[in-house]
Amino acid sequence: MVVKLYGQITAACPQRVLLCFLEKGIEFEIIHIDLDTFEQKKPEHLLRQPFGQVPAIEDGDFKLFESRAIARYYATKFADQGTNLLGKSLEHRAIVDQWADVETYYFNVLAQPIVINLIIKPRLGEKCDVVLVEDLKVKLGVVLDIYNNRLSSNRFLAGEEFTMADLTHMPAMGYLMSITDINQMVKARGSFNRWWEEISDRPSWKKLMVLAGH
Amino acid sequence: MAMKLYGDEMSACVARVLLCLHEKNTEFELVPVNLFACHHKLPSFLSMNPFGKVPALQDDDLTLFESRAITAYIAEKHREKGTNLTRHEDSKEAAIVKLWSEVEAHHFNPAISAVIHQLIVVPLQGESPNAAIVEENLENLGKILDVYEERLGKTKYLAGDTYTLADLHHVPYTYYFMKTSHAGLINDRPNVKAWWEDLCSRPAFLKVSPGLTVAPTTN
Repeated sequence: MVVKLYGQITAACPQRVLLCFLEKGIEFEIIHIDLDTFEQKKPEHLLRQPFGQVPAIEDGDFKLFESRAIARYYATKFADQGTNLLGKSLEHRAIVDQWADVETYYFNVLAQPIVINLIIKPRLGEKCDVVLVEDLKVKLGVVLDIYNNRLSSNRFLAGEEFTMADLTHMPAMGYLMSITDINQMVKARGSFNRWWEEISDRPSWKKLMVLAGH
Repeated sequence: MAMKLYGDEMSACVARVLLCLHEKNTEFELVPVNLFACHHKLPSFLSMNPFGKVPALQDDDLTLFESRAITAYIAEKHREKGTNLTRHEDSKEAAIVKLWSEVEAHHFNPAISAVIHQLIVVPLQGESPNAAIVEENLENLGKILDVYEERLGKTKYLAGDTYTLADLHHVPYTYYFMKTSHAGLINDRPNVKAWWEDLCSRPAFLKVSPGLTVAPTTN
């Protein structure tokens, strides 16, 4: 029996889990939850995810939500299969966790409202908060400078190998790179751009983009 | 050599790590960082945390920042002593701990930290709180606590029957929140209230809470 992933394949958080599955060679089945019709807010899905978001997984009797917790569970369960996403020693795992947390507290807090305002709201016919977006872009520039500095002396965020710390950034990065002036902000930062070009060249990312219809 | 934790006891993020250190009976040295004098923005601190925030941890050759990465490291390094904070021995239970830790990170923390920032930090900077931000985040926090109320009706702690990092990570900001006039959001939900009172009864909490000294000047 394969793991069932409830979500929409074009949405960032399900993509985080899918990238983990693809990196680890884990078979999966996607059960589409239609975000455009707010299926994630309906009672049936709220039983899987009480905050009304995607993804959620069912693996036999085992159920989980929160994409980063799901990715970590499968990276642990299949530690010896596919890419080692968690880190090799206690200390390396701590550095992976550190940069994965940076994604939550510094990167996603800016990237998510930018993507919501510039990509999601237009799709839903809602108005974008232009003032907010300009403020977020300035803050993003400051954060990307720190990443650029980190990646000037490290091939990947946690060191010389691709880990969960890099993977967790990829879905939002995919969206951000479709926004012209953010694309330029990335390209203006040599090491950060080098990192994005390398990780978006991975077979898992290319496969995900095909699955998502790009 | 004992671990060195850089920060100030009144910082919620530093307190998060202090709670973990005490739960694991781990020796450490707290190296003060004067936040009011902005020492966390000096090059000497930025070399440990380029984002210029406390805490940072040094353990021999390892330097770490991000309070929840630090608690995960301490909990794993000292997994055999003190409180079992991660349920590492069972991968599914460990995943449930991670799930509710992520709920704290992505749902609870953004709402509660925004309220604390407006009611405690902003006045310290000589400004007035933004009432609209407070109101919006209180509303979000109420909805999140409704989910917690249902969850804690089924389990004693968020990830099951034992106290874990999933509960611990909530403690510092909740402690500050209970000093505001909005403590009813916790007290009016019986399961959440019972959970909070339990968290406050732990010896580690009683050691750390005296350091959480800032208070709202306005509500």
